[in-house]
Amino acid sequence: MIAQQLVNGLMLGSVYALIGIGYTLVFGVLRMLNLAHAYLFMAAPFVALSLGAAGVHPAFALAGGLGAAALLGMVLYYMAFRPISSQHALGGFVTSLSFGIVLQVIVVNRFGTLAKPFSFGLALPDIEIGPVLLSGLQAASLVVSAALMVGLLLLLKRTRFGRNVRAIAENDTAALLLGVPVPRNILAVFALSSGLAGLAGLMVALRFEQIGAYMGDHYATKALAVIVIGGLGDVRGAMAAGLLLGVFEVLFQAYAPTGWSEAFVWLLLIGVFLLKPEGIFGTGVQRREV
Amino acid sequence: METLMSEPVQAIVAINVLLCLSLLFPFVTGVWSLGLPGFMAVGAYAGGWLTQSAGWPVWAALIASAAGGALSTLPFGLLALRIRGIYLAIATLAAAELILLFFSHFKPTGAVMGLTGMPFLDPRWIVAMAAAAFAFSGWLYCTRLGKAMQAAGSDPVVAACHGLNVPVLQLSALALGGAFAGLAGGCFAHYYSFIAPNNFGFHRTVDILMFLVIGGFTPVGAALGSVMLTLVPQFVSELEKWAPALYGAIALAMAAFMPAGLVPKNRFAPIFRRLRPPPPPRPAIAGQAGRPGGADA
Repeated sequence: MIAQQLVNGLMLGSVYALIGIGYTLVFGVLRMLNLAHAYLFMAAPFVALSLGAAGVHPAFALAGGLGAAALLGMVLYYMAFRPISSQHALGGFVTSLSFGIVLQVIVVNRFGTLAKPFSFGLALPDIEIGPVLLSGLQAASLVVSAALMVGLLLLLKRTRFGRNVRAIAENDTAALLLGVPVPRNILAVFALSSGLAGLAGLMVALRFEQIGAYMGDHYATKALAVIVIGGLGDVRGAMAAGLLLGVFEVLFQAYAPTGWSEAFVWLLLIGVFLLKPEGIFGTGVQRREV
Repeated sequence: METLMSEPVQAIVAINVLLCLSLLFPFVTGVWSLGLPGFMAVGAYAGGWLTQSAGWPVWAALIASAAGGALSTLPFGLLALRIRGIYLAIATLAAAELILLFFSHFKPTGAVMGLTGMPFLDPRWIVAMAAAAFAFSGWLYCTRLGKAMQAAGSDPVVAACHGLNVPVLQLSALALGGAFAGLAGGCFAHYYSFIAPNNFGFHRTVDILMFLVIGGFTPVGAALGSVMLTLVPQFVSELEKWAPALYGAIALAMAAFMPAGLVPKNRFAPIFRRLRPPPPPRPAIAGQAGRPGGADA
């Protein structure tokens, strides 16, 4: 029983972690919160759904959804982050939110507010390991997210691109002076982070077999908690905090009175802010706000 | 003109003006508080419960709403003393979620089913309150206290070096915002006679924040932004379902081309300057040095 709950928690947690990594990557390079993230999460399955309805092969439809999310991420950068000055008080906060709201309203007006069935008939066999029952999709998405997280860590630690991104996160002016192609790398970070959001959205859509225009809101606010608890700008922290929160949420849902699984997340978030604002691992990028 | 005279339109415009003014002072003082729906919910539930179950008259309940909204900012204020900027925005979002979570499980106010049966409040009163709040904000913005708040918002360190008590300014701005939001909540509860936790979701902050960003961070800007943008979908009914997208698109364009909003300057200042007699000559610098607060409006 508890093993099954743990696996369910890891499933939920890997979605939180994927969204959280996307948030934290952008925050790392720009020091701005990209609130459109949640809406890209929601947009990807809708693009896949439209492609599927147009008769595209399911695999290509899903890939199209993913690609659309990455592309929208780049559009987002050019529309919401590039034109505003860094002096603007509310900067990317309001503009990215606006971008996301525009996306959401488009989806609402095109598809309605009701949940849409989302099924591509991907038949994967169920897997049973001792007392734990995994559907094929669950197993696949667990494997994909685990592989992605390892891949991301390697990307950030071992490649030139990763080194550039970490340099920009520490000090973008110094990075620019040292020859890092800052604008191009930031654009790539946007594509990467939005692609991750799209992937998380597709995973959730495939698992629950239905999507709605408001599906991102819940996950997105939780993922905000994830990046704060993990330390803003800290990718490893976001992964760990995401998995941890997912497991705790499922356990609380199973064994605590209703409402406490939600309250727990928010209380933990405020507690972290008050006691350890640099995140539980204490490795979030610290830079003096001037 | 017909649209302007209709009661639902008047009520929603007046409530939005109150909410927008409630965001104004915290943001001007540099406290990015997104707890607005939380304060509004506290005001709505306090006022609604007092008239519905405790039999208070509406005016007394509205005072209680404002007081409740202001009091509920206290824990947010403690957060504001520790963290700022984007961090504070996230933390206050979380705190507002907690307040709503509380009301979704609190049996005496109907939990998720909501609270109903409040006496009806004539929207003309709501308009009058919004106008009073606007006049008060315009006056406050021009006083020394208002200027001290703006200084604390534009640079807390420099403001503190000039002898301003920044935490006190921030807490009072938050409390004032909470009072306005609570009042708006009370009006909401007594106009619609029904409140439920999902009336006070994040979407409300989003709209109001866009009104404020588009209008500009001044009382005139806040009022103008919220009146105009609330009215647009009322006049052009095809726009109604696109309204949030319209706000979003305008906010995007404004951020790129007019980052300070429609009314970036305080339009009241010249009027007050004319009304006020010229200040008496100041005593020597020594007398000013140790003054705490400096907020002696």
